[in-house]
Amino acid sequence: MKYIFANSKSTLGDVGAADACAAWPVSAVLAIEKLSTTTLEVHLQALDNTGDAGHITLAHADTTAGTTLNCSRALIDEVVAAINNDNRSGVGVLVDALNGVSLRNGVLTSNVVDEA
Amino acid sequence: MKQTYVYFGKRGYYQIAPGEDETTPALTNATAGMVPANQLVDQADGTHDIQVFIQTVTDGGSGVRGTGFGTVDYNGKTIVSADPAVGDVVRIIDTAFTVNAGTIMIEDAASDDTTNGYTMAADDILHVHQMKASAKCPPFEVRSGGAAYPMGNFLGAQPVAYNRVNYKGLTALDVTDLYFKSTIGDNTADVVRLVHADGKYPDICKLMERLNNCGIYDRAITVYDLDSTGKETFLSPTFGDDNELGIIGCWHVPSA
Repeated sequence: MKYIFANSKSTLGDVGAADACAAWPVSAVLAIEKLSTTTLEVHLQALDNTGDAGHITLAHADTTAGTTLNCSRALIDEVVAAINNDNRSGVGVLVDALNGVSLRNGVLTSNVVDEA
Repeated sequence: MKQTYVYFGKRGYYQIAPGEDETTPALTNATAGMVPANQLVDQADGTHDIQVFIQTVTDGGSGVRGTGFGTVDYNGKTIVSADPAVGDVVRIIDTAFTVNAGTIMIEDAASDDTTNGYTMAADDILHVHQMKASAKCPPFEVRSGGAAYPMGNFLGAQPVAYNRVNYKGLTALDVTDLYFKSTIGDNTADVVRLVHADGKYPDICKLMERLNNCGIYDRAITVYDLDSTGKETFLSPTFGDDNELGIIGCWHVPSA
């Protein structure tokens, strides 16, 4: 089993708070869905409740702008590739604001981790 | 454990025999895959991103059509503009329909618009079709606007009684619902509804099986999509890029 990881906080002291940083097994992914013209939502089984959902909300460029019309759909492909990762660590990173890591069509700010 | 992901965009479609008042019920995401934005009367053609068609079902002293429909209908059939005949399909241009809170109303040819309007008979069928992905046809770039599901969450495909025809060529249509585990994490399901050519349910099942076992893991595979320019993306049961399934509508009915 592989895992996906997301951290929305850019300050080390904030990482331990609720809804800041979490890892899920890739089998917990329920869907990847467009949420707005600037966000994509990865629906996941909640960490603490098998009858509820958590989310990783990934920010991206505005899909109503001519040059970035397809960035949301392209980001879905990147998320799928990260979920099905071949990383040696076994963890696909969707966003890590602390270490400045995001997917190519994602951005580092305004991402949200909702654990449950 | 790697999984394939399937992506469904959205294209709204709705048809009904609304009766002589030329007014549809309020379209919803569940029934039509769209809630068209409001539009006032007498807008220039092409203002909205839906198109409206009327299929004449009752002949003779019933429907009345305006004088502006020309001599050929949408499917190339010779018509007499002001004299609807069974099987005629004409497009109602934007000038002659309004939209209010999802309800579409045709201008009456007898009283409102004698050129582009239509006085419908009881059984005449009104078709409403989304032509491009846009904010005028929500949901757009929001929940239900497009999603990728892991095939491991695919619960099954169910044929749905439909018994209607496509305004394009008057060919028969069917509906298939694809069930996926709920995106809200509970014990309900998300449904992707496909409106497609008659008899394609077995081919859709074959497509889902092939998708599950195709071994493509680096991207989500698009089954159907409609973009903001009106361009469609298809996936045939043999993984070709043609519309072999005859899909004319595709939308998501998410769990609550």
